Amino acid sequence: MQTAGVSTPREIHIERKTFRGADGTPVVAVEGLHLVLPPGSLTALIGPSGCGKTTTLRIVAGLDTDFEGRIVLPPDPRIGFVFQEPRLLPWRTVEQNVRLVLDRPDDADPGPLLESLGIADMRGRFPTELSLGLARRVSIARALVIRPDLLLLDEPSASLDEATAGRLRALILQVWSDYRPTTLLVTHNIREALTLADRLVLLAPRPGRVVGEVILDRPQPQRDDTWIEATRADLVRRFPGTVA
Amino acid sequence: MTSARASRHTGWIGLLVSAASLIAVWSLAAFIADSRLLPAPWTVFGLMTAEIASGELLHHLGITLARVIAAFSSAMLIGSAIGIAMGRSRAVNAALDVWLVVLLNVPALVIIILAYVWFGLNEAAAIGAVALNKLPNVIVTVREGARALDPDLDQMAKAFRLSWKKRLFDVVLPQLQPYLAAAARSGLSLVWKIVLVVELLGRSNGIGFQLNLYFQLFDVGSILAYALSFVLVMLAIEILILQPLETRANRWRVHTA
Repeated sequence: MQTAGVSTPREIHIERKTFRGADGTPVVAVEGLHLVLPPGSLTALIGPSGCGKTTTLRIVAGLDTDFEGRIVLPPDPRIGFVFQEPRLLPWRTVEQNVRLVLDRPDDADPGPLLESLGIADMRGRFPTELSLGLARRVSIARALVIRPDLLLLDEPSASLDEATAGRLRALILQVWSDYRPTTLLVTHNIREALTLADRLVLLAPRPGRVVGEVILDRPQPQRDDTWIEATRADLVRRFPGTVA
Repeated sequence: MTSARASRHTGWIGLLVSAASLIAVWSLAAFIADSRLLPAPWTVFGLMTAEIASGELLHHLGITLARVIAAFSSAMLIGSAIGIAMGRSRAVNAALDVWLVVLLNVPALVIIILAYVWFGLNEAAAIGAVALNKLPNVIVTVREGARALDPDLDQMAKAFRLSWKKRLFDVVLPQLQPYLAAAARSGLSLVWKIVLVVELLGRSNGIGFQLNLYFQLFDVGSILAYALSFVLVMLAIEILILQPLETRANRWRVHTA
């Protein structure tokens, strides 16, 4: 079951995005950010805070239209957004939260998706009963259930302990290989990017701009800790200040 | 579960104790006064059953209740819509703010008299006047709620391109629920009090009309019988409709503690 527009690339061209500072002077947040996302790819935007990562995601999702540039997406794009905070409706159950975003909620069965994310037996629970890690899995299910033309992941393992974060990354990788959505991941965690992405785009702060691009052609399942550590060390040497 | 049941149990006991003490104080006062102007509870109760048996009381009660429901629901519906609009849009708020302040401060009686003078002594004028009295109250409360809506959830709804129906019923209204409940609570009691005034001034049926009649006859017993019967109806609405609705709406909160 392929989704419409699956073969067209998604393009992001942000010439310039400015904010008004506290004293009214314009501050350039992002400048000259050009990205072409091939269908089914997973691109990671990496950089320290203040390099406009989240701003970029908001622009791509259509939440911020006040910028110079253009975003190329299939017509009527379905965008699955996994926010940093899960942003679930506390008054709806897990299953209702996932079904909420479907056009005809009775059409699709979110069962298999909940199953593969390990939250199938929590369908009837309310988000207030879930830990952050579980709530984030629900938010990932909600983003995937619409078969998104573009999946946006904003720091998916932020504020989780290392063990939980590792488990969540493995799950993300699992569902990503199952569904193959074109994905843009934003993170400041280089290990996370090296675990999940097939391409890294490195950003420098103030204004956010691209300083390097790295293709990771080793298949994700073959990336062990040694490889990740070696690649990280190499990147730290090549891009000091951007990668930590 | 056990503690919830236990607290409900204590709630019932508290209710019975306060009702019993009210009747006791009333009986004592009636005994000391020993006057036609302060009949004892059982006298009033007797009058009430007689009026119910004759069909009089239920007839007027039904008419008053219908007016209360009509005025209350139109005030809640229109007030919520305006309140949400004022809470979400600065322009709408600026445009309507003066109207709101004026409406908040015009005495109920003035609105009722003007409605009757301008639109005649008819049902629409009566219900409209009551609704208009309650309206600003609903607007102010719901506006407060609309201002406090979570921008994160709003962005989520936007990113997933949710339809306006889903935004309203799944995202916005559940957030406004405590404000709507507060407006409904204070609204119901306010509305029925004003309905009595409207009936007294310009209608030929309903509890307010009957109260006026018995006032002219100086029949305090019947006045109390009619007033109390409506208090009981309001109490029933509170316990049988409003409280279960609220418990249902708050199901998800139970788990947070």
